[in-house]
Amino acid sequence: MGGRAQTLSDFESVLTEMDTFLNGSDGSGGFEVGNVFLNNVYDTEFEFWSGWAISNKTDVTTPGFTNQYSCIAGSGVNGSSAYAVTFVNQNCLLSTVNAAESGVVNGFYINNSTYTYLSMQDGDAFAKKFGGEEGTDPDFLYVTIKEKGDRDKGDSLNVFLADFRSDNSADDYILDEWTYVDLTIFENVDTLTFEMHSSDVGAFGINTPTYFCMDNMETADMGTTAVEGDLSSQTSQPYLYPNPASTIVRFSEPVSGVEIYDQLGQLIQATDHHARGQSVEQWDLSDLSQGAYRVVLKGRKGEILIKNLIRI
Amino acid sequence: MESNCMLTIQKVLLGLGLLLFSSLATAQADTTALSVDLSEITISDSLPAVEAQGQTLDAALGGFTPLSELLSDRSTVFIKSYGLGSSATISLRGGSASHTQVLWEDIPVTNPMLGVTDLSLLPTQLFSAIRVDSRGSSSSIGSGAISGVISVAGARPSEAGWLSELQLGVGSFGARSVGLTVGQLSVKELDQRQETFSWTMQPYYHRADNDFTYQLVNTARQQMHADYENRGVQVGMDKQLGRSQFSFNYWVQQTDRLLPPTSTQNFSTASQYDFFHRVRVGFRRVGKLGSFKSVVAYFNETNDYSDPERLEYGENNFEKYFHSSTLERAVWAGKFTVKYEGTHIEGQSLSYLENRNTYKQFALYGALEQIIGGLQVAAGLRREWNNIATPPLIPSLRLGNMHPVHHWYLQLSREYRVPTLNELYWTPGGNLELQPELGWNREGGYTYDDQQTRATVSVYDRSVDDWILWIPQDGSFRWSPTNVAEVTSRGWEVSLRHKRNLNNVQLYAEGSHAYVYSVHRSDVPAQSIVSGDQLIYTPRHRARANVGLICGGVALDWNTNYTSGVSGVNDNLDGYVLSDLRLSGKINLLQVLETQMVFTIENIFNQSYRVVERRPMPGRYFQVQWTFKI
Repeated sequence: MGGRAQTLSDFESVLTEMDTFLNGSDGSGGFEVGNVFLNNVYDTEFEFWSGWAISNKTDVTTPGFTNQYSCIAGSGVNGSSAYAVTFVNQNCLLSTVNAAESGVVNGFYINNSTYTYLSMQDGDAFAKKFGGEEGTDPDFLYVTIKEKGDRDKGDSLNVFLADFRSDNSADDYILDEWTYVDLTIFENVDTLTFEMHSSDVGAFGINTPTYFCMDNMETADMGTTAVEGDLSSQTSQPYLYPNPASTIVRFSEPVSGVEIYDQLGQLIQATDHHARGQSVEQWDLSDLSQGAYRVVLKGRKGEILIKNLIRI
Repeated sequence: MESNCMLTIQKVLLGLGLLLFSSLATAQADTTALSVDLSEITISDSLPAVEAQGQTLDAALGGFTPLSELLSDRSTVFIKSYGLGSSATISLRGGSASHTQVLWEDIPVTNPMLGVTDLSLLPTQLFSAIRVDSRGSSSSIGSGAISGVISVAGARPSEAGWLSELQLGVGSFGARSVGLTVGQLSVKELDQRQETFSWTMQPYYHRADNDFTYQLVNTARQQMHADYENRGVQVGMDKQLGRSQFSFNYWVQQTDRLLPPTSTQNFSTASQYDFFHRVRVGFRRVGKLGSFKSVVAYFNETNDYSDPERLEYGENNFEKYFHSSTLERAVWAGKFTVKYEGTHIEGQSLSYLENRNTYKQFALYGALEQIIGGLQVAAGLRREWNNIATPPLIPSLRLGNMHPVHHWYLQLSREYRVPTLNELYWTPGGNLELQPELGWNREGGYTYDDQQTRATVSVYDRSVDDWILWIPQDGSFRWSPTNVAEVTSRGWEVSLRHKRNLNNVQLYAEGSHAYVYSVHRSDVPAQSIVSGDQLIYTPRHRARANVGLICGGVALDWNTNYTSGVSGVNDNLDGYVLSDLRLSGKINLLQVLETQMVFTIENIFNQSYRVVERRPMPGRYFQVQWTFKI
């Protein structure tokens, strides 16, 4: 059995100018990039957008609504220029299309928008700064990802964009770096929905600006593609052993890259960039806490394989 | 005489703490009061024999503070204040801020774009008459008077000759003020008719840093970016020639204020600029059988918002043309009134779509007042047409007796409010399909007034349907105003006041309480409203106790207010008690210059409280005002 081909939607081909954005004002109804479709609804009467927009804005300092299209990182993943930004509501939908239709969505990178980040950091006339008046309020902001039609059941994934719930204030954080979100818990994905949850809620709903940014959405194309190489040419699935493991986990065949993520999709360990391209046959787990992890293996020809790992 | 006065003051002060909530004293009645005037004023369009419910406030109690603070301190209305120098609106009898109409020289001054009046922009020192009339008045006044009316009027010379008065003030948090009132009243007798001419001019200036310190749970913080500066001039002229009277009023004011950060905000760079011209010209002629009155007015008002850090700017302006003519004629055992009213408003805003910005209104009002069997019966009917949402017929019926000491009344009236320009035209969200808010008001009251003791009680029951709220629309998260709510407001207002003389000391005491039950009758899920919920920022209880004494030129006044807790947009707020102390003294210098000094301590117990969540309020602070009269 071979691995599936992966398609990366990085939005770089959408925008033709720098420091700009597309919010659906051209009536496109959405953006098809790679094997995903990002929904967009544009109200032509009031010039108001909802759903997804594509942006390459770089402003990381201007607070407020007028800077709603910027990512706090000032760029996409790994310094790329373009990314998607969404104002979370019922129009915030992400669908698989083409070769990935009803297939597997491996994951994507998430980050805060500048608008939301600065609102949580400094507060504004409507939303509180996280931590509250004296920095001790247990505030939080997270996104719940579900498959459409499964709003009340089925798998869901919570991704925190800010978390001030710890008793140790040194652990408080507002996400400002691109962070990988593993979506492989969802099977046969048609459409994903996103809901925002904040501790700052009033009579009119969430006060915190409900935006987040996305980049490098990765899907697995449906069907089997034979690719020469160690991982894909095997007639059996490569595997990790032993699993669960306590100190060392080995790979059934050598790989060129390893990334280890926790259950929240945060990257914990990765192959050192000096070692990339070299074969890796095993991984030292002694610095990992006990628990469940996702291991992303990269084959020598660029194939991606994701495995669950239990560290005991 | 003076030493006896001081001894008496000492005796009274020793027992002052016991009198905080007392409403009785033991001295002869005296109608003279330096600082308190709670006597009723007959509404001009009512029969002279009928006293209307309401409260008249003494502007002198407000000093250099805005009208919002005077109302909050000296009445049982609820003022929703965002802090010193920040905006403040009124909730009267459980209504919203857009349900109380504010009249300046009988002209509505409520902002037609917002539908509310920012009472922090009205300097108390300008007004000689301030009246709170808490009864449904839509029939006679028009839209936006569902809960009642606040009427203000400028100073008028009351005695022939010159009027000149200089006011200087300083206070905590960098407050400093100057105001001048000059005027003249001349009276001539010509061919058995009297000719009078009076004019007044009142320039004023007030600024404050408002950098007070407020308490958090574990720390204290200083308010920042809260400067307030207000300047303007009000001019009034009246000429009476025989039975005809001409009047002219002009008021120009500019207010610049920095908008402070909330308690959960690190900083603010926002500011607000308000500017207006208000011109009024009136004519009145009184004949043997009736009177005719006509008024024209022009308002040009600007409200700009700026936040350079957030790159957010708002520029809002409106022009209002207003005309009304009223004819009153004696009929049978009373009078008949017919009034025509026309309004044209053009609003300008960056958030308005082009060609969607006008409000045109034309209304006819007729009223018949008769005295039947010792009872006064007044029936009124209003018909209004406008270019947006024409309301139905608006009737009112009032019944009352005419006893000078024991007076009661009953009233049934229909009430309404037409949508504001922002509710209609704001982009995004404006809703051209909005209908007027409509309701019925039933109330009654009783007053006992023997000039020494005055007791009032009033009860009301009001229901308003099609109450406008901003909610997200189905299939969209865009918020839009919608006729969605149904509200019932019930309650009572009671007050008891007594004054008398003890030796040469005038003593007075007053207690008042207002209970407001104002709830939604149906769910509004979009705003997390459940049937039975009390409206936000609507306290169930407001209570006030006031005691004081006047001896010679010295007056001492103690005032305590209680406000029960409220639900806010984000948090629930606890109730609070605030107490103020006011000491004033008059001195005549060389029998030419009359000087008065007023020293006020606000929030004397340094209570930490919030009116709006995340909006700090000051602790204890003081004001000193000097007035020089020539």
